[in-house]
Amino acid sequence: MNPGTVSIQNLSKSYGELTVLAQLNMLLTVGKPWVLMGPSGCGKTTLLRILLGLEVPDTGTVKWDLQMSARSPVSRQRPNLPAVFQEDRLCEAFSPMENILMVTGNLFSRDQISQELCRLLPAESIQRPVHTLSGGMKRRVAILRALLAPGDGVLMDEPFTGLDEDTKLQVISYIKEKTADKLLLITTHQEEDVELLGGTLILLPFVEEPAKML
Amino acid sequence: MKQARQLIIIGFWLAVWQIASLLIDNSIVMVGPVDVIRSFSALLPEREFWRAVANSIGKISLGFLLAFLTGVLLGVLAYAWNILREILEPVVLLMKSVPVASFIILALIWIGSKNLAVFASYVVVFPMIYVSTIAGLQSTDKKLLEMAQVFSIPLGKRIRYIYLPALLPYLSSSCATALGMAWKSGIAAEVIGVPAHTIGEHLYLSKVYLSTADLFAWTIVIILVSALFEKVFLLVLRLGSGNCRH
Repeated sequence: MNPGTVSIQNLSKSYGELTVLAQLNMLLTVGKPWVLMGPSGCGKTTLLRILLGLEVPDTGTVKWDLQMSARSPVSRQRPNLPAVFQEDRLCEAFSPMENILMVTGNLFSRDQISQELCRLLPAESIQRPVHTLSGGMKRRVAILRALLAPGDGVLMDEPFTGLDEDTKLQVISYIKEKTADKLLLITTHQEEDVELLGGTLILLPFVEEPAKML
Repeated sequence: MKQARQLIIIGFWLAVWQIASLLIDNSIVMVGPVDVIRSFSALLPEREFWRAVANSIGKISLGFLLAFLTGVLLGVLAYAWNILREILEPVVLLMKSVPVASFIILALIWIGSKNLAVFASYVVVFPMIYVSTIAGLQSTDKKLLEMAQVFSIPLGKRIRYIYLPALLPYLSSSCATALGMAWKSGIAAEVIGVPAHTIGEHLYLSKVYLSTADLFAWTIVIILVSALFEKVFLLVLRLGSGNCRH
């Protein structure tokens, strides 16, 4: 059975004089994590934003052939893709529990969410407002939010910033558990993450050269 | 220790005031704290006093509440629909720039003196609340709104978790200012229009009878009522916004 693919064809995006993506072609299949790396400014975040529907490419298309979850309405052209942004983008006045409830609706009970949150966070932290948490803890809330929200895949933009080594390993193992049958695309600056995630590296260079898959 | 020092300073200024009034020795020009307290205590047991206070509070509160509700409602709609914002812009600008006194005299011709205070406080408060509602909503973090789009968060939740927390600090700070303004313009309307059984009427009468002691006493009444009103309203606002969070 086809596990699902995302086909990116001839994608280009420029901002004024600056060309960020040029004729990008990629085929991502669901099964293993895809890890996107490249120098700063090479277009990783732009690509993610186009995939999330936050930006419109100048040319090219993205064809989705994913197993849409039962919750996605059939008429939708784009799948449900929860994301972790470069910034945490949490509602700081509210607790981690409330931030998760915001996106999961009736999918899980409070106890279930509590259980999941405690996998990566200390139990006493999940009910106090997010602005009282440390940077690393906030990051984990953002990651948990993307993994618990209903979705056909998960995109993460430099999710491990601000996490120490041990926490990172814990988080990676949790991510792998939760995305076993979903599309997973992660950008990072650290090459060791490719192996830790058990994923495939995509190197996105500056515009002059074509992208290399290794 | 700090409170003791403040009391001493207040006592010092009261003493200066009393001495000044004794030196001036003209009860029309200047009246000391002792005479003012005497006037004030004479007012308290009068039924007319409480009727006037209740009346003025009622009218000015009504004007404030109407302005608050319509200000927030129209502010939200104007934020959502640019065309409405453009249509209302000249009206709001007019309300902000025309001096209150002109509005009051005009309103006196239109609606008579009875509800003048309602109109005056409305006209002063509405533009403040309307403008700060729009500003508060515009201050909403765009990155959070993008996040809400990506996670398909329904509108009700967006309002509760993203828009409302952005709006409330703007709204509560403009409310604090607007309350004070509502009071001042409401009382000014009453002094100009002299509606029966209001604080403004008594303020005006104390001028007519050249009773400076009464003037001071009524002024103190206004200050006290205004401070009380402000505290009550802000408490309500804080309780209301506290409830929204959980």
